[in-house]
Amino acid sequence: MMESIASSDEDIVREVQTGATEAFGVLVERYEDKMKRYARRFLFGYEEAEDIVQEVFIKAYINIHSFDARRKFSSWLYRIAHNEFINAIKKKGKEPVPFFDPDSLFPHPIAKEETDSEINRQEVVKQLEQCLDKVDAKYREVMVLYYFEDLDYQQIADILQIPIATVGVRLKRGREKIKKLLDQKI
Amino acid sequence: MESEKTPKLKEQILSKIKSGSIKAKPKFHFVLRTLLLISGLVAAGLLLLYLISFVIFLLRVNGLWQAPTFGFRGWGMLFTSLPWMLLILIGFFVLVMEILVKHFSFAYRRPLLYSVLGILVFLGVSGFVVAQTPFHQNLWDLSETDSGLPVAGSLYSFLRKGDPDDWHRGMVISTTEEGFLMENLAAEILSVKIDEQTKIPFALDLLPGDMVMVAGERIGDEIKAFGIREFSKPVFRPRHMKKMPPGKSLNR
Repeated sequence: MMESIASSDEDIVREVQTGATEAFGVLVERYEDKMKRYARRFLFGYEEAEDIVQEVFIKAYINIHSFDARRKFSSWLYRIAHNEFINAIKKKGKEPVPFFDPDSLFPHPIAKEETDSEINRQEVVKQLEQCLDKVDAKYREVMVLYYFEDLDYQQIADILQIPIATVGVRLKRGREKIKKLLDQKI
Repeated sequence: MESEKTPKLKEQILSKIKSGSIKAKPKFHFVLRTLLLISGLVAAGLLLLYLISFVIFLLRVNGLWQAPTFGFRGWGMLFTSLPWMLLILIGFFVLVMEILVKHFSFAYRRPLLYSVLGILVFLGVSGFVVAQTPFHQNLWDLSETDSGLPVAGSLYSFLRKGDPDDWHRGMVISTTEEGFLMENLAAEILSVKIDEQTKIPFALDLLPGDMVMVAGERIGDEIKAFGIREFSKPVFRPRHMKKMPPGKSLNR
């Protein structure tokens, strides 16, 4: 087990794939906090968020042989979490989850990755904490992944399976929405 | 503050694994799923290729792809006579292909427009190439034999259906002072009238046996042509017209 702790996620997956099922516990330990944090921020007001996180790990184990160990495990796990969370939102029917996103239809040349200064980033995070729950799910999720999970555009694009430029567009619109909400509050 | 880690989650999951209440799906399950996905893509692609090439072949057979050269009226004729049911079916299969192709990173990393255009351009060009081969001609011939063509046979009945109003196909029989005589697909002899407003290619020199398309209103056995084009490479020649060799000079 000590060996597993020192290994990369992908090495541990290889172990699990070859039958060392105990090693899956290391992956649960490593990602439990991240998944819970992601669930809490994305699934506002869902008492069963913890159960959904458990379901994420169960799904990951069931589908462990579909993981290509040459790719990044974290992106793969976040993808499973994204699917589970979206299903939970759909099931509740509290907020709409459109099947088709027009933002991913056309190219968006303006949507490049931004290099926020640390102060600027902290400011946005502070604003997000105040009214993230009032933002549409499609913008909220991108902001959670970018500002709270510290993932880059490429990783977010792979998790949500959308073009990189669309990540930029959603972040921009999400920030605009937050600004509007805060202005209304004032 | 963030961490609310309970040792329970790891233990719960591991105990479920040990008890066998959750089991990892075997690798072949995913290999099979990928194979099914690829097979679905190939099948949808081939079906689309067949349908697109058929529509192109259909427009070549009835000559309607040349109708826009007659101006707005020509565009209108092309639009109203397009096989809309087939085009809707093509649209549906493009959607199916798009959904299947979005499982691959090369597709979802790019805007939807790119993958749809990619599918349409690739299949459009391939369909055009297939339409130039004898593939559909052979199937059409087969559909008209006694044994017929299973499944797709009824599709080729489109090719024998009457032309839209004001659109006539046939073979030149002889010239007249006002134009020429033409035998249409129903073996009727029609007199085609040409005037200064008729749109005819500058170097058109019709010969008996040439296959032509004529746009114009038919009144009785006369057609007042507003446009005439020749089938440069006739893709059809109804049986009753095969008696006359093509390209025999007219006495003008």
